[in-house]
Amino acid sequence: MKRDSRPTAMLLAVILAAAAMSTLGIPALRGELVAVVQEPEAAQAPAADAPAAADASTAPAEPTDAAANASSQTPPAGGPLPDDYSCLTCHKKGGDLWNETTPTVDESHLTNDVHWKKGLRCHDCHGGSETLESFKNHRDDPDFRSLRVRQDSITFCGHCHSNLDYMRKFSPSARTDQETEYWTSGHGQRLKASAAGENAQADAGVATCISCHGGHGILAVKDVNSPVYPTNVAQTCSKCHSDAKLMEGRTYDGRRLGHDQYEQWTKGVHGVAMLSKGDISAPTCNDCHGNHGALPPSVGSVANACGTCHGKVSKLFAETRMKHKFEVAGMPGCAVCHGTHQTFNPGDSMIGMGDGALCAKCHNPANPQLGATLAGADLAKNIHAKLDELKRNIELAGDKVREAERLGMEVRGSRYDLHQAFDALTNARTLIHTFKPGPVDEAVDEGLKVTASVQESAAAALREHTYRRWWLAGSLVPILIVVGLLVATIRRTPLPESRYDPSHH
Amino acid sequence: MVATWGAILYPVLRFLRPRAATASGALEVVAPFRVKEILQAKNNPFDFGGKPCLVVLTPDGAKRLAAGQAIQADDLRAFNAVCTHVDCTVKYRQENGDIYCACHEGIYDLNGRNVSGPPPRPLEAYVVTLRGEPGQEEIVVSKQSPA
Repeated sequence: MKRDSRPTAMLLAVILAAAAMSTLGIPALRGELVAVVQEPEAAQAPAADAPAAADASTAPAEPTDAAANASSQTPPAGGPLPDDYSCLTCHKKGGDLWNETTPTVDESHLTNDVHWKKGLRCHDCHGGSETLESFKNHRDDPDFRSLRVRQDSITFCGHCHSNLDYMRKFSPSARTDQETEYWTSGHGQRLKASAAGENAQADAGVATCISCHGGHGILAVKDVNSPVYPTNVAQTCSKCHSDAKLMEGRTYDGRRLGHDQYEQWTKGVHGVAMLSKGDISAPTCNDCHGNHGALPPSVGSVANACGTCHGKVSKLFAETRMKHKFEVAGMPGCAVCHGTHQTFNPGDSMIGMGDGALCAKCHNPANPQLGATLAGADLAKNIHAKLDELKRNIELAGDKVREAERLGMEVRGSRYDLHQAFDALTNARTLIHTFKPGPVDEAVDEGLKVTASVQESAAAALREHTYRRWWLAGSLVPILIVVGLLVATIRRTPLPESRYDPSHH
Repeated sequence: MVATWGAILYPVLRFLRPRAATASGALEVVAPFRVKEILQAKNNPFDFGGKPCLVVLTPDGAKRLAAGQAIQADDLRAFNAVCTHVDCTVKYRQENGDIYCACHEGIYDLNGRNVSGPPPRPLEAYVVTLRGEPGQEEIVVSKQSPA
């Protein structure tokens, strides 16, 4: 399972832009931009003044200025900001034009930022002039990249991250499709609709680059403290998606979005694997939904999403009539039985017609669903019985091996052979997804052969043990007889006269 | 009289010639096939301390073996053949150049790295050394680093 490992955004100085504009007397925009930088949920209200810039934003940013010029230069050198660096005049505490109301960014806030570490400085992201001599008012400077409205942050980051020539300087295999992907995502579609004034989908409060990656102080994805490091992704998404107020009334494809996905995921087998067992390959939100192009998988695509990791099961299920019936009924494939965010740890009780068996939901003789048949109910019962038979025989064989082991017999070989029966059981459980008796029976029978062989060898070891005990008991009889005869002979033998005479001493 | 001697001698003889062990030792084992037999070996994986052990040939090793050239220990890799997903036994697919778990189609490369399917971790690697005359080498698999 491979995750996207490239940071989406180059957002080094979003706050600086907000600060700059507020300093230049744009108070109405200042509040909005601060909301963009800090909390996505704080900027939910549709932007009344949103320009139709989003359409233009769907196209990769044209490398017209600093980034384009930089493409022919070497990567930035970095180092501390010089004293005459233009941004410091207003945005450094104590700068010549700084005052208490000016948003301030200190270099210490940026030292861990992945862009800062690569040598990028304020003007590399925000454009404009880095020296006071050539400084122009932001509003009059065509090189200054503004962040007037929420969707500007996408093109702001995309300015560099969609420019392959520029990104290559930092990584030879850098991705540059994040911006394009974003505009296809549920978030991007809503933001775009908002900018275009399409009320049906409009939502100006959706996540943008900085909602997940942060503003100043962006960490590399591989950094364990990054909000998009695998173990942190779900919690990052949950900042919005677990907020009942924020999610209230929001829908996707006509369905309510809900706000319990994170809680469910933490209880499911994948969440437990990642959070409790430290398995960072376990799937989190972006593995099923995508990251920059995040969308819920469609009904027909659920099995493919699961099949990214569970390829064999997905392949087997794809060939069944059940998958087709689920699709026709608008039911989401694997998720019908295994759950969605709270994916159940599968157990044998799920198959069959007993209490808690999932087959019984449709193959109910009293109330069949989706055209489920009674033959299907019989098949489910038979599969359950076959699995039980193999489990019982594994248990019996294991008991015999343990008993022989307890008696000191050599049974490591039998214990090793028993592995094959467990393999057969796991394989049979996988083959359930064919919903045919043949493959499951074949796998179970293979396991039963192994358990029969192991039981026989363990029984032989136990017989050998009994045999040894009898021979030991038998061997004691002549030994005791010999000992008895020796004792009797010794007693009958007179003691030799002592040559020791104490009177001569 | 015969019974008496039998009763006395049987335990002694069994003590002197004990039943062969049915499994390998815990830290080192000799594979039940030689280097030249690895591609045809039916008993690969084999028992190593109660767990299956799989020995595979690297692509360079396979070329050398096909050309009749000498095989080095570096041309072989040995792993604990228990899949890191749900403990099924993995097998060597020489034709695909990978290690495969049939239970859920987990795939590892010939360095034991999980590359496809649900396995969350690489396979546990063992140390391989060769012993014996060229062309007749035994494969010694060890859980310890070579001295």
